[in-house]
Amino acid sequence: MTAMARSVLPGFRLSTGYTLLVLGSCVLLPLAALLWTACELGPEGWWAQIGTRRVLASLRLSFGAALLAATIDAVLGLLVAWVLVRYRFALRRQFDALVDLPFALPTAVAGISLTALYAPNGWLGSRLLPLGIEVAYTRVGVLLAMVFVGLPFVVRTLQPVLESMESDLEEAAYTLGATSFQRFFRVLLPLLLPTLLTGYALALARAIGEYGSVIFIAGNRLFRTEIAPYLIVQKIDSQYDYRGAAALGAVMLASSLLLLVAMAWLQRWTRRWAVVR
Amino acid sequence: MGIEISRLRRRFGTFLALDDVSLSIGDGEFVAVLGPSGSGKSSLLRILAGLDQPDAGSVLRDGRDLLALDARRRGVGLVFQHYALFPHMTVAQNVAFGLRVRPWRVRPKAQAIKATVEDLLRRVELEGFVDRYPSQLSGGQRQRVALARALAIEPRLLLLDEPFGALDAQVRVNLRGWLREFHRSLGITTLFVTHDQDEALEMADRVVVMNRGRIEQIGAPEQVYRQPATPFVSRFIARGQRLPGEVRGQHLHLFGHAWRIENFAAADAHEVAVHVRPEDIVPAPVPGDGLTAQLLNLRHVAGSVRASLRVESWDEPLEAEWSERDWARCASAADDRLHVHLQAVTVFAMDRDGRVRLRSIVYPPYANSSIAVGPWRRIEA
Repeated sequence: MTAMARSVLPGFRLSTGYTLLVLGSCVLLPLAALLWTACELGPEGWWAQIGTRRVLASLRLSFGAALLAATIDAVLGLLVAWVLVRYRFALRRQFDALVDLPFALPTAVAGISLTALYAPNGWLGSRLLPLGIEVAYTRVGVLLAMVFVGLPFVVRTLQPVLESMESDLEEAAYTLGATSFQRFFRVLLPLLLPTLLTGYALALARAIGEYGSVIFIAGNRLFRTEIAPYLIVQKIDSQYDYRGAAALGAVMLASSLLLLVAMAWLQRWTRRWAVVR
Repeated sequence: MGIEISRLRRRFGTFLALDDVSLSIGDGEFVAVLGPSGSGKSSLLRILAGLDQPDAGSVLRDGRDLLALDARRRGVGLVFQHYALFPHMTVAQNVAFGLRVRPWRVRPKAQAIKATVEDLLRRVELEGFVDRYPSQLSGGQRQRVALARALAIEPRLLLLDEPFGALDAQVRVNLRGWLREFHRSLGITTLFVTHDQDEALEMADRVVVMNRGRIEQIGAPEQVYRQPATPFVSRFIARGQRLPGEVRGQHLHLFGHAWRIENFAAADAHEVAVHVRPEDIVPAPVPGDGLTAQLLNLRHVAGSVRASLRVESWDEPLEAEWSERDWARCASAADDRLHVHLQAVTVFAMDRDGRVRLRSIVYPPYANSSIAVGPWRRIEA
């Protein structure tokens, strides 16, 4: 009741009820159903589903490649955001718009175009092949697709923060004798880190969940380039094994949740200076 | 030797931020650059700090070219208007920054840095705040951290950009006196930029008044106030107000009176401006004497009385300022009518380009007395 009295917005109960309803029906209910289906297997049945070499390999690839892709996105995204914010050049606005392309493109289209480009007979693939670099149908391809879809998250989260950053701090560091290297690593990067981590977490989440763009370029070779979401689809598609798919889904759900919680905690730590008292 | 700034010019597009600015600052001097926003004072500061380069002109420090040095190596401490403290560093880390970023050969040992930081924080009276983050400090405290940080690199020139601009009035007044004392104890050549007249006049050894990229006047606070060189300085520093005066022959004609000014060759003048300061409009001691004035409104502000007056038939209301005591003694006005004297008016004569050629301060004798007061001065253009 006190919260109601103090609240600026009227209709506290109504809006809270509505929020919980939407959240419950759209997010919690499906997740609960997933866990329920997975639980029907029992511990042994569950392990029989998860413990296979094929599933473990796919999980390792999904999470490993996603972590690596998000890291690459963080570095590349920082660079792109930096260039777009700090420099004025011809076609800057066009480049800026292009950043959103992976958002807008149907993932299947992205997957097909990447495959066409990097396939052994593709425009880039045919040139990389003599150098001994295979991209399509390998783990590198998986990584590439994940980097592609995750990049806009990092760029778009960083951009407004970079734009609002006062040049005062850099100039202060400059007059105090810091080199450009020191100005970046001691002043700018620590200030950008919380935002960078947000972008990282978003890119990571997207990469873990990515399906459409990855499966084409991955080629889905047994034990090597199968990602976990692909296995889930496989289980339903070819074996009508809903419980098995749910078990795998539950594992992905739990792992993703853990990762995101860890990211949030890390982010809080990098922003410890902003907390007053 | 100090710093010798000569003929600086800086242009941003069509805007002339600095127009032929020359200034010399003595060693250990405390100089205020005063001007409204857009007058070029911040441009001057940024050029001295090395954050900007002039289009023309030179700056010498002890005979050596300062502009050739990179900002990193200038040994110039800059305190920003909004402090620009590094929010992710504690107070101690902020202050130590300038020492920690030095190349390792000239970087002091960790212990020496710690000792320096402690010493500086003691000087700015923030000993207990070593481990706080800037977000946990008040505005005045942040300002002092910024000062300590700038001083850590042992600058030979200290630049302060609107040092009290973002503080509330009470803190501002307290810090003024503190900074003045602080400067005296350090003896570092200091240049500070402000748009606050009181601040500049109260703190500085010398005041540089700027307007539209030009220096209008350089002088001691008292001199700038008493003898403004241009109508702008008169308006900006001394709150000079324009009067409908004319110079004909050797006489200043004002409100139907004519007062003699000598050596004032009005023929040279393209335009004449007559200014009066608020405190030079005084209530007449004898009732019925002097200029008639209509009281438009009256405000009592902490020991002084500010009045808006319509003097004679002059359209523009004039601001007058008296002490409460004078007001109580002389307020014989039964209604809103009273009589005032002008104690001193300043006459500027400008040439066709708007440059001041002549300036003279006229002390009009009281209307009924025959005493002619009036040391006036002729200045070089």
